[in-house]
Amino acid sequence: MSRHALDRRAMLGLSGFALGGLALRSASAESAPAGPAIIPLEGHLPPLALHMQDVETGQTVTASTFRGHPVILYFGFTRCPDTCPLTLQNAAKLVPLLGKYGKDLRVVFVTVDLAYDTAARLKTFVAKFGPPPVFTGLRGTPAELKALAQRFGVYYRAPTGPDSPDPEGAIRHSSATYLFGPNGWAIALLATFPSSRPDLPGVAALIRKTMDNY
Amino acid sequence: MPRRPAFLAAVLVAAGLAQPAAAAPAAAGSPAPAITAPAITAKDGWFRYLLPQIPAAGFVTLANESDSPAVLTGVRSPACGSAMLHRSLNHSGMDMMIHVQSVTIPAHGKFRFSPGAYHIMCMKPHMAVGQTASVTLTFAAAPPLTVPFTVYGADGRPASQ
Repeated sequence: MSRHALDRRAMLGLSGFALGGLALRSASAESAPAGPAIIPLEGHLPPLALHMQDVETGQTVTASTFRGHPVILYFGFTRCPDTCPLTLQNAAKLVPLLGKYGKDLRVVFVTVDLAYDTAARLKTFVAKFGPPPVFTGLRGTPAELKALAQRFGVYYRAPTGPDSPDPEGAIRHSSATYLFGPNGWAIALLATFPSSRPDLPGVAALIRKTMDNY
Repeated sequence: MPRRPAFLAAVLVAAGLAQPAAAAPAAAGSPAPAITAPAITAKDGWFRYLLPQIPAAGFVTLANESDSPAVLTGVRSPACGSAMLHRSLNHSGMDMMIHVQSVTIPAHGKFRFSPGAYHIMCMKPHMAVGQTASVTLTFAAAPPLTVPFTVYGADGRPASQ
């Protein structure tokens, strides 16, 4: 496991995470974190701000692109075989629970694996879960990715090359899944959304209420 | 319920008799020694398969009917290139994945590979949605167990969650 020399690391916002010393919990096959499913965030984070490429259209998008839309923001990568597809699948299940607002939702998947996730590959991956623009894949330059992650305290670490040994295992990223309102301000941290026990009705109710009041 | 090939039920664990693992799965119909019982069974095996260029994740529920814990030490499949036992972890809010050397199925217990937790990492998937893929599980003290995994797409297995 001496691959750390291959990694580019960005320790952003979070501290105290020991890369080497994972204290494994006793074997439990369930993945939902303890604690509340939805953690209110109003007033705790800056508004959405980003500058990245929409891999579907090739166009640059900014926060204004998403104005008027509820946004679920998640950082992941396509070589992630388990948690990232699970999170996007949860998003796909959420859409029909939103009723008339289902078409307004933007599920924004930001890749942290710039070495492997070309725009074409990310586009194909995201489209497996739902059509654009509800499902939107974003890819930034290293600086753009760093800026967005830093703004919201998201940590990520990814190998520099597609041929790095066991690259999937080396990639790490915060599971933080943020819900932003149509005005661009963060509403909540969706704590159980990237797990097998998401509170989809709760998230849907929150989005519907937010949109009703917009 | 998916059909269960007869050989699924016919894997023997040498309970208390540390006998070298047999080379081939026990053939259906061959009489079991009286002191052993069919020990490890697998059901509801499935893959979430998205694209050939990215790993697929496999999930299955293993049951151990014997009086001794069973230790799963490896996995292989012609549909995977290479395959590994992996675990998704969320550690202090950080999503990561680790390679695990083995998992233990308790005596008279179950072990479930499930999304967001333990999974079989299928490195170079050669499969198609709707097909089944053959997966061989290897154990420390039991013969290998070969089981079919149903291949699902992005939506996963309908009843899995």
